[in-house]
Amino acid sequence: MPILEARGLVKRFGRIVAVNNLSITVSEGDIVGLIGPNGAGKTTTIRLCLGILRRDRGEVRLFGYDPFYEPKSREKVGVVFENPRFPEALTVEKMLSYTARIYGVEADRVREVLKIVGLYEKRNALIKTLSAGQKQRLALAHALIHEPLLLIADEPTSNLDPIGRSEILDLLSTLNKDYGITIFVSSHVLPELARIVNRVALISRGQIVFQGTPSEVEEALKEKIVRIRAKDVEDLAKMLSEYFDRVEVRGASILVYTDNPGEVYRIVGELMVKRNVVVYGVESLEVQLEELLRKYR
Amino acid sequence: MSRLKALTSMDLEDIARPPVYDVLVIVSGILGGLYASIMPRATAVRLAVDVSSIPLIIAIIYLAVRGAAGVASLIANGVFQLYLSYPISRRAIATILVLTRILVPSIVIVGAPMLIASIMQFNVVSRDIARFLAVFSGRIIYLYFIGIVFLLIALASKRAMLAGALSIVFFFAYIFINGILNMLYFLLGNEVFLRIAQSLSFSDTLNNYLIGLNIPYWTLIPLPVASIVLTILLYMYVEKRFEPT
Ligand SMILES: Nc1ncnc2c1ncn2[C@@H]1O[C@H](COP(=O)(O)OP(=O)(O)OP(=O)(O)O)[C@@H](O)[C@H]1O
Ligand SMILES: [Mg+2]
Repeated sequence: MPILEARGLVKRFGRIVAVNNLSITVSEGDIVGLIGPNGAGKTTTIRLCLGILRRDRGEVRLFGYDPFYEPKSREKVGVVFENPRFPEALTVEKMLSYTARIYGVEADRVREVLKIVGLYEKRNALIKTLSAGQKQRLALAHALIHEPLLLIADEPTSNLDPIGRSEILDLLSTLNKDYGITIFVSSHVLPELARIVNRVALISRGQIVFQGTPSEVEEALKEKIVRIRAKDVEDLAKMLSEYFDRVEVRGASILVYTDNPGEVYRIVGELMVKRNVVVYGVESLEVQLEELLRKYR
Repeated sequence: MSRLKALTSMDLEDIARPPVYDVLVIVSGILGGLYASIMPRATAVRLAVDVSSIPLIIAIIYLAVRGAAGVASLIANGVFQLYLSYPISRRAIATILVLTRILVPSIVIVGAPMLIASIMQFNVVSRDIARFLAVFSGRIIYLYFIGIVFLLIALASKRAMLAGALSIVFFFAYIFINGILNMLYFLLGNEVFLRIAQSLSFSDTLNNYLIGLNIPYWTLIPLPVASIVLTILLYMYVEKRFEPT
């Protein structure tokens, strides 16, 4: 059953189209990773899904409700915002007890979640004295206090050192496996999330350009780029595009995207012979995530 | 309902954060009250007016700094989006802001010295409690009007310094226009100018009315009506359009 469903979302900021006809579904039990480079629209998408921003077009259903108009939609949702901030003048425990009251849960829950995220010793500290990493943990505690069914986390590892990162990721994984919490998490790097998610959505320029399991993404990343340096790149590119779907001229090189690099070598060889094309070199490269994203633009 | 109370207290605790600034505000408000209540006043209205005039100014400054600038920084630093992530409606959040950023501070800052004065000069106040309270209500209605404008400025500008500055500018412009209208009346003798000026300075006009000066009652209508209109506007804005980024 889909817990979160967005269809055809569009969000503009003035002339910038931050989210462009984006659709995504998060089903019960999933850990979905929303992966994309800076400025791709991850945060905007998350805010639209929570009803924090007003969408220009499209539909959002969170637990069956429209989050912009129906606060009930957020009852079972915990949120970790990007660079989380809290009322600075409160102590950790005070803030969380207010949150507990807002969600109508027992005050005991405060110490429980503080222990879960490893912030128990800091319970009497003022929030403004916490480090960025500690604030990140507080955000997680804050998001878990009401035992949500869905946890939405916007780059939850961004302020942490490597150990902190993997701790948080392990925690997310545990929350999903042992507590059955559905998780929607964003990041600008794939590899660290690939370990824990069961679905990946790649976002670029406000659109989901690829969806699949981590292994499918890996498969896609196995695709090769063949780089050809030639005398007359424009001409050769035109000829190659009769054989391949994706041919790009980049400076003095041509990039051909293919899962069969041998074919490119063969055809380039043929063209050299038949059409007297001057080629200086051909090599094949691994597709990086950034390349993959660029490819779908 | 309890979740609203929880968020209201959280927001209140955040804006009333001790110590320096807020304690100063409240203490000086109380001092202002004491100062005015040392001298015995003949009537309850006189007492109420004198005791509340300094706190009124302090309250206006407070509404600009902690109200408007406070809300704007709430937006700028991302706490507002936290509020919106709770299962609380936008309408309720607007109500919370009206309470924590306008009504509660106004009532505390103006009400505290008036309460002290009413205890110290109980014999005077007890003779005319109704009018004493009318002066108080007039102050609060006036502050509410100013506060709603400040709040709208804050929500639209979203930047603390800007919101604070624009609020102060608005208030001085308001006073200035009032002065111009009075001057026009003085120069041209057209009563319309006087009546508009009286409508603008609602609280003072109400006080003069209570003292028994000859003021048409309808000059007391425009500001409360404007407050209601602005309140509706505020709710429509928060419910339908507002984005905390
Ligand atoms: N409030 C805003 N006003 C104007 N433009 C905005 C606003 N929020 C986001 N944008 C623009 O929308 C685009 C998407 O931004 P968004 O923050 O969603 O990206 P992101 O994927 O979260 O990036 P990052 O990895 O840096 O967090 C960017 O071009 C950004 O500049
Ligand atoms: Mg972001």
